[in-house]
Amino acid sequence: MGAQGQRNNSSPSPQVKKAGLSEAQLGQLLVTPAALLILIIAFLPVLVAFWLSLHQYNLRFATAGRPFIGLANYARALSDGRLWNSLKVTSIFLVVTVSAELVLGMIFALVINRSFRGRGLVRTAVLVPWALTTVVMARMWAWIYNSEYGIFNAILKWLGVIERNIPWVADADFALIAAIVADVWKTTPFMALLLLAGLQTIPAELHEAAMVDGATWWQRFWQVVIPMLKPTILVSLLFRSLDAARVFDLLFVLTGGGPGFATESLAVYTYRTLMVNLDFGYGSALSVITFAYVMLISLFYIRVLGTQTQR
Amino acid sequence: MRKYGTLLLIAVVLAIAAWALWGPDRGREDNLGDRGQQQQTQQPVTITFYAGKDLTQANNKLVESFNKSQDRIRVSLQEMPPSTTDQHDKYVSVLAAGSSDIDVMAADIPWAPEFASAGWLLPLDDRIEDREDFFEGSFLGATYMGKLYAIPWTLAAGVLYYRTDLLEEAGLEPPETFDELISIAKKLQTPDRYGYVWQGRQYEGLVCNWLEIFWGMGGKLMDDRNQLVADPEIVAASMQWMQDLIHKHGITPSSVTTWQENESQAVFAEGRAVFFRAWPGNFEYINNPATSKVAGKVGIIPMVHAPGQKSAATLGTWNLAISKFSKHPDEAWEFIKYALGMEGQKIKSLNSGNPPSRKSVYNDPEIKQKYPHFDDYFAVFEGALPRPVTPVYPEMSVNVMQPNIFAVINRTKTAQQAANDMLAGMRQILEGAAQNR
Repeated sequence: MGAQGQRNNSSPSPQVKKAGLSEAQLGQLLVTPAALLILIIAFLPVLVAFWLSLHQYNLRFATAGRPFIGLANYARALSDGRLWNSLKVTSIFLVVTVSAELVLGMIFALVINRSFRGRGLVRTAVLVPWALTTVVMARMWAWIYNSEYGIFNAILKWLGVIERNIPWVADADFALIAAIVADVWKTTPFMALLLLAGLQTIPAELHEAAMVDGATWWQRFWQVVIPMLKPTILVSLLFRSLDAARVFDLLFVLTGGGPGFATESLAVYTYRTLMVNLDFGYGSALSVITFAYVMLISLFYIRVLGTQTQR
Repeated sequence: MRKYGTLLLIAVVLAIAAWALWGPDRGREDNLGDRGQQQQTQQPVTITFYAGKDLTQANNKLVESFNKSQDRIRVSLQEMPPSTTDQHDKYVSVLAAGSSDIDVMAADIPWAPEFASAGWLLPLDDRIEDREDFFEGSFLGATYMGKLYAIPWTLAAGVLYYRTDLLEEAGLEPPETFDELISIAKKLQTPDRYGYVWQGRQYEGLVCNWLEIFWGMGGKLMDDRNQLVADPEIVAASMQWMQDLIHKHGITPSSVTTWQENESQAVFAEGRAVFFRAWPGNFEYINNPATSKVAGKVGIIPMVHAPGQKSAATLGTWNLAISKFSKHPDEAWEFIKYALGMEGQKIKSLNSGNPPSRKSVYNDPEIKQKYPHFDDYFAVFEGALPRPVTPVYPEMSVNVMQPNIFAVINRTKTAQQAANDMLAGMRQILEGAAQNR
């Protein structure tokens, strides 16, 4: 690394200077295409959405035009009970799924990190749920919870827990739990895989040294594995949280946001505002709010991650 | 060399920047150019017909037969997702972009006012010639601000299916009133057989189910000028009636709150229900020995109503409409004219089992022979009513009506509370729309 850096420093500079560019300028020039691309792909849509959100703009009323209304859409959002409800649903979903996936994923990772016969098979098997398309997986769970033909009711009936079929996803309290269970089932393998990669970077000597010092398995887990795994854990938490904050497909297919609005996430609400109500002004405001929500989560993790790497 | 390398790099960067700024536009022009050329060289004009996925192949046969009937116009069929909601959202994204991809589209009844208000549909008043051969209610649903924006293609309206064998065995006449339905259902249900199944999931079908009860109790939702005139008492009573089916009379399982048409149809076809509220389209399945255990034992009657009131079915027409962005509106109309003519209607009907929109087709011997039960539908269609005809209907349905009706049958709100909430919500949406106009 060092040597390479030096060579870069010494040789091209004079040449570049002849072309009238300092090294910093050349560097900027080199990142221009990438920066431009990121600007066009990532920031332009956000800016357009923000601009739209400052207008009253409903596609259904072609004659009403597109008057500029300042921050009125955001004022409306503040007093919109359905938005607050969707923020609540999204946050519950995020916190519960991500923590459950972290704990379960850790257990899976620890298990498949050990060597035992048929480990390859187990590792593959664990990955199957993650490989399924979310929509397919959601349909599958919809069948599991189906009141007449679902296996969930069948098992409960067989066990004698219930007598009559219960429509689970129509139950306001259970619908979100049902969605959370499905999501944990699907995404735990992803978490396990990330954590497994982290586990494998922990040098065996550390374990050996700890064992020589007489540490129990439990002590080794907390004193060696967790500290060494912290950066990996934080990155996987970031990945999963960002995904969970934008959850759409699972809820849309499994419960449709119902019963009532009991499982309507921020993304589902935004989608409905845009595509059902065709209210592009307010819908854009909701998109910007979603963006801010996701941004806040990212900032939180990046702060935590930042202090990690400084140490 | 190095110097040239740097220059080359700068050139590449500029080229990429130029492409990013002007590239997409130039690409669009190229596309248009291509299309223009195609029109000049290939003689027949190609138009695209968008319609939901059709397992019966009736749409393919219709298009094929039209293409064979003349050589000026080629219709190509573009299949949409089977779910009505998905179709709606897809149409919206294509039409909102002002794309000319769609020429003719099959549109669910509430979309006519919605898309018309958005300025996406071509008015068809000047083109249609024989209005009187269609059912009046079906035209109401396709009219917005006094103009006709779509033509009914196939008709559907809520009907009540019942088990002829069970009723005959018990020596009972088919019910006409709400109370008769409940008492017969109670008599004939067993632990393995529900009294009455319908669609209670929180979705569009729930509103259709509810409206029929509401109308059957003499309710009126909106007047001709789209003002809300509903009596909160009747709204609450009709919601309560649906809840009672499940929780008081016990003739409907609580699972109905997760059912759409397919789930309730499967239960009825297995012989596990006495009464089944659905659409004409369900008849093929429940009366076919290959898919149903009750084939040949299915009777059709209009929805029940309160004593002294009339039964009114919710219309579920599918319309044909022309996109305003179509480059070939005249050719598009030629196709619609064919699809709505005797021949086109028969192809669609005989292959799909969907009742035709044109009255005279019901007298056709071939139709009469294959579908003797269409006569039962004729009476239902004449009394059938559209859902509120306003561009904000989808919003009212999804945001206010579905959640409130569902809250009652799922017992999370009292009927009184839900009725008040629903009407207040509808009023708010209608007022917002009036301000926008």
